[in-house]
Amino acid sequence: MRPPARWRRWAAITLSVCCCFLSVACAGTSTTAPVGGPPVFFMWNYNASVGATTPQEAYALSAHFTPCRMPDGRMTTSADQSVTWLVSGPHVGVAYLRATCRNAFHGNYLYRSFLEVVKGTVQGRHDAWYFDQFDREWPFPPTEDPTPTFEP
Amino acid sequence: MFTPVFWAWRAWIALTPRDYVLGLVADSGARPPDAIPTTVGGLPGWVTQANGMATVVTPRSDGAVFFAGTASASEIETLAARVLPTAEEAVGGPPPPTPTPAPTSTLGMGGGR
Repeated sequence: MRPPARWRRWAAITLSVCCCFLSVACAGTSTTAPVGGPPVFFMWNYNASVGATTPQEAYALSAHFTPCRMPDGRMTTSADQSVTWLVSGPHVGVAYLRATCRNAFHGNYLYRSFLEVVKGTVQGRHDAWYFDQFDREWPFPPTEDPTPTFEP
Repeated sequence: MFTPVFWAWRAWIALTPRDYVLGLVADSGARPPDAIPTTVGGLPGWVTQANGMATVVTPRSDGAVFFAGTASASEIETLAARVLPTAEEAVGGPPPPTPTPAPTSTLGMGGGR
């Protein structure tokens, strides 16, 4: 009986270690931005965009823009956070997303993103909108204030 | 199944209140109702203002070229007159026949997904 009991114990330990690794891995890639995990700046729900007739409508239905998450999941304020549509047509739109984040998960930084949304077929759903994005963060020291002076 | 749509841009961003963006997209877009007609560098188009940014768009036969920045409409129109005529060179060339790789740094080209 001893060998099987020992084997079961080692199996339980191995299983626990695997579960721990899986938990950490899942927390790092989740799109729900769990508390304590790395922030997710932008999420897009393809299904919600089905039927939208303009890029702006697709964005309103599908996008979740949260550039200034704090470690506890809450958001810090950004006076200049905005979504500006540079080009907009019946099938394509290009937007410029910006924010100035302080005391966020990654500290103090400017957030800039270019977002292209295109109407097409996504996962078998016609008239859906998908997106292509490029985004960056530029850190700045607490003593600086790079917030634009214009009204948001 | 995705339909690739070419787009490319070059942005000038720094820790200052000013940002500028120059881009090409393979779609002529639609003129917004609040857009004001303009001509920059001999190219007809329109200018819009939102969120402290002014944007100049000039449609072309193969899409549209745009220049935007955190400045007044007149300032952006003046700058656009200088950069729009050579926009293709500034962002890395005209729209290619096939999608290009993902963007890098502040100079980017995208082919959709």
